[in-house]
Amino acid sequence: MKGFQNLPTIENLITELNRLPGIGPKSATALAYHLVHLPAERLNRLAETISAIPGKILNCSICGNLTEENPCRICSDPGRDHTMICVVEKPMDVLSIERTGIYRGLYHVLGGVLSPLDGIGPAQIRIRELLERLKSAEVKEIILATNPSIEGEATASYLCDTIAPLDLGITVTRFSRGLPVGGELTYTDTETLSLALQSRKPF
Amino acid sequence: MHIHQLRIQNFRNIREASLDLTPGVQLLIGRNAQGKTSLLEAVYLLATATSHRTHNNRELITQGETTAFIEAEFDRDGSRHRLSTGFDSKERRFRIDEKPLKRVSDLYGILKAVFFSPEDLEFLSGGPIARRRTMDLGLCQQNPPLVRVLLDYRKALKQRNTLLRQADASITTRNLVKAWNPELIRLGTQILSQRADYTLKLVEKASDYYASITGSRENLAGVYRSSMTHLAWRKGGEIPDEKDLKRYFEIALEETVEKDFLYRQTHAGPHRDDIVLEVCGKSAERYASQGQRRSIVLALKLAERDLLTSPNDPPILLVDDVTHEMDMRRCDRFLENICSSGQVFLTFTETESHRGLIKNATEWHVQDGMISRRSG
Ligand SMILES: [Zn+2]
Repeated sequence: MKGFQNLPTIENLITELNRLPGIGPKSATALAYHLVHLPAERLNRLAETISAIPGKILNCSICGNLTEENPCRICSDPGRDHTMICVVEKPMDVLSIERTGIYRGLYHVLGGVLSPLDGIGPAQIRIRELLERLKSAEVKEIILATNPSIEGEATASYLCDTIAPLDLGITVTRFSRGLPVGGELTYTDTETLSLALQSRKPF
Repeated sequence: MHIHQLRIQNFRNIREASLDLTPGVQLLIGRNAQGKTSLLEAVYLLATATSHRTHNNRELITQGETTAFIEAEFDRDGSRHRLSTGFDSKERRFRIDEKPLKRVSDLYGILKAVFFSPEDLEFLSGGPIARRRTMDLGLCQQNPPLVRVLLDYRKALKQRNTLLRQADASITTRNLVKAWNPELIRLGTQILSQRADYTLKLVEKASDYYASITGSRENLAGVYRSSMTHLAWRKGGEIPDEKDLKRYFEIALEETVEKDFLYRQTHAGPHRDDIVLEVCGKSAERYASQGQRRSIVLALKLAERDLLTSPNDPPILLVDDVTHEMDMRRCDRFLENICSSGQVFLTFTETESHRGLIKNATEWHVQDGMISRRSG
């Protein structure tokens, strides 16, 4: 970035902010100049909050969701329905479904979807972990809630074809059908999500 | 639909042009390689984000420049809009009424255009790829949501083919390959049924034009040939409904899977379909003469124009260098047909006698990338 040669601190700040999703060069510059004017105390608090992330936040060893305690609160809650697992792509999707308040089962966060073009196969997302969970636990239903994108559908299809021959007596359902094609779970409103969840169909 | 004002910057050899246009016929007059075709190409690029001459942005930008810009102010359904595109060698951006278009697929249907060019002959000589491309360009302008479907299909296909290329044929790999089938089927079925339907309509209209061009001495027919389970339809043939097509597609994918692993690509699907044209019952691709070929592609283009015309709203016609091979009588009829259509851009060389056949046109002089209004 030209014009910042004598302000390397701001230049670095803009570069870092610009690397965040949804923040272009313009917003990054505006944010940087905003931050510069904040009192030192607030800046330190912000810096401490951010630098605490790597130590404090981890992935639940069972479901893969983000958590500060392991296993996460959902996995260790005896009040939840341990016979149901809802399979999602990202931790944010758990948040969206939790907001509907109607789902009481467990989750499994894949951490991505199948995409040969990006070198992502079953080994790169948490599919083996899911199959292990199915064999050991008292699961009766799997809800495949990957996004209704091409990759999300292929991932759901692969999971269904992999789970069915295991003969575990598990019902596999797909719930994205009510969502707009190509839409994303994370950005779908609570009401639509509730409807989709209630009207899920056998795969 | 017509363009009032067209602005072009750094596009091929046109450094700077600003044209105030009339709703009718625009004659672009000049020697070869002066910028006539580039002007038509610029309008078509604005309508469809594609060029008939290149996929490479770099080639479209004036040498020594880094960005090019095209903008049209046009009337549609009684209101005025402004559509523009700016691009460098890497990316192209479109804006409609100052708002950026999120996806190129949202562009289709905004400004409709049909391009008549000498390269149209590739419909007969360029193999199935050229034929599918022509069909899809016309179809997508008529039915914009299909753009998204085509792009998604292409992506699903790429994903599946990537797997086939890496693959051993183990059970896991087979399951992985199969996982892409439902999306291929869902998207491919839509493409297949709409493209086949469009093709049959297009060929039917084109055969009327062909009969009129040849004085009813010859007849043109066409078949849409699907790559799967040897399905083919001609005029009057019923295209199965989507439910049946889905089933056929599913069976075809299962039948060809061994071949897919062997050749490492997907064999069944609308990406392998073809359109076969026949003149008097014989394959046009193989047997048609040069003159017949010209008449065929002209008939197809006129048919495309008709299918793209919504009531009282013909698409913009871009007619490049297709008249000089015609005899006087045929040319007269062709010009009469297209010039009554709405806004038409026609290129002519200085010396062409056919030019005299056109009345009430706005004349433009094109020389060395400069475009100026000719008076008188
Ligand atoms: Zn957990």
